[in-house]
Amino acid sequence: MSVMRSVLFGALLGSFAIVAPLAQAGTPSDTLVVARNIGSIKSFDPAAFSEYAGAEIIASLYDRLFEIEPSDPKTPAPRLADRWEVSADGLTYRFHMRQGVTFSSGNPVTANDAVYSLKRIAIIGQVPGQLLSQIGVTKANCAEALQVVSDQEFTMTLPKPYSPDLVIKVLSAGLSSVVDSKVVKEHEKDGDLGQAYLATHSAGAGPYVLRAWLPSQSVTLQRNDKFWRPAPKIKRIVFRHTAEPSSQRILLEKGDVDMARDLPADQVAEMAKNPDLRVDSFSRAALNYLALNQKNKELAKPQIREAITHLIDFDGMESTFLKGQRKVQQSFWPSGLDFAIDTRPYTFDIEAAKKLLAEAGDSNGLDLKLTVMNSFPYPQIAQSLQSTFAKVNVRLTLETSDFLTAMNRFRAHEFDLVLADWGTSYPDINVNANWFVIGSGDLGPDASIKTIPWRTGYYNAEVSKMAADAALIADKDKRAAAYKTIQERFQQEYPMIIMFQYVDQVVQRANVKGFFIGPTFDAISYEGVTK
Amino acid sequence: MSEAAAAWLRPRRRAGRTAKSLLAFVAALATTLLGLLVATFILGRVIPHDPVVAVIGDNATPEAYAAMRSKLGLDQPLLTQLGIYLDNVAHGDLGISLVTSRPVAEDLRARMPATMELATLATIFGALVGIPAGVLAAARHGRLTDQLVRVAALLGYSVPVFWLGLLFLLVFYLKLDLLPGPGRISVWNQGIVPTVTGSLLVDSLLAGETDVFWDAAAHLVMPVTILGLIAVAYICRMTRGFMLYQLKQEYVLTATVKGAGRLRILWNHAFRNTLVQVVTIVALNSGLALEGAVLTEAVFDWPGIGSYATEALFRADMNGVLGVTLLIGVVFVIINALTDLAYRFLDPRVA
Repeated sequence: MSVMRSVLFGALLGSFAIVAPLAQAGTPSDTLVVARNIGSIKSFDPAAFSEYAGAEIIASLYDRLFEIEPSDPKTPAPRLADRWEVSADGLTYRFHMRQGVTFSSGNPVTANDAVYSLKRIAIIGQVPGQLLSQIGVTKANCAEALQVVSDQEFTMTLPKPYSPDLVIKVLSAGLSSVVDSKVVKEHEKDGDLGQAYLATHSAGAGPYVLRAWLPSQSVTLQRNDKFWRPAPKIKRIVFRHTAEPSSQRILLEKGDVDMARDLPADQVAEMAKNPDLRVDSFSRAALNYLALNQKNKELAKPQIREAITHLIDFDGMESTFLKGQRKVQQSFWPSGLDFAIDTRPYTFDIEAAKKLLAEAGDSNGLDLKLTVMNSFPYPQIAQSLQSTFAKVNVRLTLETSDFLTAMNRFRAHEFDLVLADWGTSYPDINVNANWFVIGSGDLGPDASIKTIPWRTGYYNAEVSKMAADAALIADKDKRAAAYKTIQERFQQEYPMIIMFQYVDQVVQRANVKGFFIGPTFDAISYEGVTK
Repeated sequence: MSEAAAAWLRPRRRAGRTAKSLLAFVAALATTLLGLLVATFILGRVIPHDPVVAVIGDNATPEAYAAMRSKLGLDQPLLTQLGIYLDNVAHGDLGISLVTSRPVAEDLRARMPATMELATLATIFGALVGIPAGVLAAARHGRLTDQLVRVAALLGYSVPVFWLGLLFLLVFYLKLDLLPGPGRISVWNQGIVPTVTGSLLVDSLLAGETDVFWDAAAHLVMPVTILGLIAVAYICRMTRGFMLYQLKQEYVLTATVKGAGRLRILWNHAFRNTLVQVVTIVALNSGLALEGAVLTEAVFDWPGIGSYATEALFRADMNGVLGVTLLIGVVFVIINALTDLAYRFLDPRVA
C-alpha cells in the first residue's frame, strides 16, 4: 500500500503543488484573445478564400475598395475608393482612390495596386474570382476590363450594364481587398502571383498586420502603425485555436480569453446567466433550407411539396433548440438587407398537409430519405421534421453523415430531402438569385451551371431569366419590384423550402465592446474593439 | 583443425544471424507499411468524401471543380493514383495536405514532438503507477486492496477520455485554479524558445528559459494524467494477471518454505519472471497512447498528430490521413523491434 500511495500522491499532488502558482488568469489589457476553431485555416491570401475563420482574419488585414460599416449594414461605404462615376451607357466605372493612404509597408496605396489586386482575384479564380465574374469580370477579360488611368484613378469596364448598386455591393466583399503590389511582386515565385507568400504574410492597408501563425495553435495580429484611420485601441489580437465548444466556454468563464466564437445555443443560454459575460447577437445573411429532389416522382408533384411546407414546425424549432441562433425566414433573401420581402407564406398546418397529400393520391403516406449533416443544428431539425412528418404518415429515414459526405450526396442527386445551408458573400440579392434560381436549363451531367436548380432538378426558365435580367436594372425601385416577384414565385413553387436565417451569438467578457459582425460572411471588424 | 574451423565459424554465424534478423525486420517493416498504406488508400477513396469540395467549397463552378479535380490527380484511375502515391512515398514525399496546404511530411515533423512528449510521459506515468498497483493487487489477491485496485482500473479503462478531460478542466482549471487550461503553452510564451528537439520541456531547458519550462510542464499535467490513467488501468490489470500466475508457481512455494521474505518473493522472484510480459505490455501501451492521444488532443487543443489526424479526416485530406497512418505504423513496428531487443536482456533464453 505504501508504494502505491507514495507514487500516486507523489506524481499527482506533487506536480499540482509545484505548478499551481504558475496558473494565471486574465489577459493583458491591450490584447484581445479570441477562442476560435482555426484548424481549417490554410491561407491568409484574400484571393484564395475557402473557409470562414480565415476570411474573418483576412478582413482585419486588408482594407477594401468599399466596406460594410456598423452604422448601415445595408449600404457599403467607400473605403480605399474615395468616389466613382459611371458612364452614361452603364458599362464603365471610373474609381478615384483615397489620397494619403499607405500600406503597412509604408508604400502608398495607388490605383495600380487596386487593379493588380482585382486582376489577381480574377486570374487565381477561386471563390472570390467566381464572385467577381458575377459582374462579368473574368480571367479572360480582366486585362482589358481593368485599366490604370493614373496613380489615383482606374477604370473597370463591364460587358453588360449591371445595376450600379449591385456593382458597388460586389466590390464591398473581400474580393476588393487591395494588396501591396510592390511587396507581392517582390515575393512572386514561378508566376504564382505571390500566392505562397500571401498564404502566410499580410501586405495590406487594414487595421492589423499578420504577426505569427502557428497552424492549429494560434494566429497573432499586431496593430498596423501606418493605419490611415484612427488607431485601434487593441494592440494585439490572438486567435487561440480551441476546437471544442466546451473548452471555449471554460476558457471564457475563466477569463483566459475575451471572446468565444463557436458556441452552440444551449451553451450560450447557460453563459448568458453569468454576470461577467455578455452575449451580443448579429443577424447574418445565411440560411438553412430544405432542398427537395424533383428527380423523385413524389417530390415532383407540387401538392407534395406544398404539403411539406405545412409540415414544418417553424416556430417550435425557433423557440426551443434554435433559440437565439436562428430566426424563421421563408424567402431566399434574408431580412435586414435591400429587397428583403420578409413574408411568411408557410404555416404549420397538419390538416392542410393531409388534404394536399390526398389530392396527390398519397393519403396512405410515403417514405422519404432525409440527408442530414451531423453538426448542430441539423440532427435536431431532422428529428423535429421526422416527428411532424410522421403525423401524416410521411416516414422520414434519416441519413446522417459528416458535412462532406452530405454535400457529396447533394451534388450527386443521391437524396430525396437534404438539410443544407448557404452563406451570402456580398450584400446584394443577385448572389442568392445566382445560387437558388438561375439555371441553364440543362439538367444533365455536363451542365455549365450546377447550382441549386441543377441539383434539385427544378428549373423555371421564366423565373431564371427574370432573375438574370434583374441584375441589369439600374433603377432601384424597379429592381426591388422585380425581385419581389421572383421571391414570391419561388415561394409558390416550392423547389426548396427556406426555413431559417442565422443569428450569430458572440459571448464576450463584459468589459469587451465594439466588436461588429455584418450580414455577409467576411464583414467582420475588430477595429473598434475596446476592453 | 575442427576447433579452429569452429572458432572461425562462430562469429560469422552470429553475424549471419544478425544480418538475417535485420533483413527479417526490414521485410516485416516494408510489408506492414505497404499493407497499411494500400488498405488506408483504398478506404480513403471508397468513402463518399469529395476532397475537391473540401478544397474549393461547395459552390464552385463546374470548370473550377474539374480543374481542381485534375490538379489533385483524382481524374486518374484508382490504381494509377495508388501507384503515383506509393512512388512518391518511396521518395520521401507524402504529398501536400489539403488542410494546411503544406507538405504532409513537414506538418508531421512539426507536430510529432508534441504527441511524443505527451505519450511518453503518459506511458512513464502509467508504468510507475500501474506496475506497483498490479503487483500489490496480486499480492493481496481477493482482499479489499485487490478489489479497490480492480475497480479503479476498470473505471480508468471505461471512463470516456473526452468526458474526463472536460471534468479535469472544470475542476482543476476553472474552479480550483491550480492548473492552466487547454493548449501546450500559454499564449505569451509561444514561439519564445527555438525548436531543437521539439520537446518543449527539453528545448526550454536548453535555452535556459525556466519560465517557459514550468509553463509547459504545467500544461502537460492534465493531458498526461488523463492519458496516463488509461495506461495505468491497462498496465495494472495485465501486471496483476501475470503476477497471479507466477505466484501460483511451485518456485514461490519453495521460496516461502525456505523462509524468503515476502517482499523478496514478490519482487525478486515472481515479478522478475513477469518482466518480459510487463515490458511487452508497457511497450504496446506506448503505441496505444498515440491513438488515445487523438481524443486527449481534441479536448486540450494539443497541436500533435492526433488533432492533425482528426482535422485531416473531417476535411477529406487523404494525404494527411495516410501520412499519420504511416507514421503510427512505423512507430508501432519500431516499438515492437525495441521490445524484441529488450527481451534478450531480460530473458537470456531468447538471446
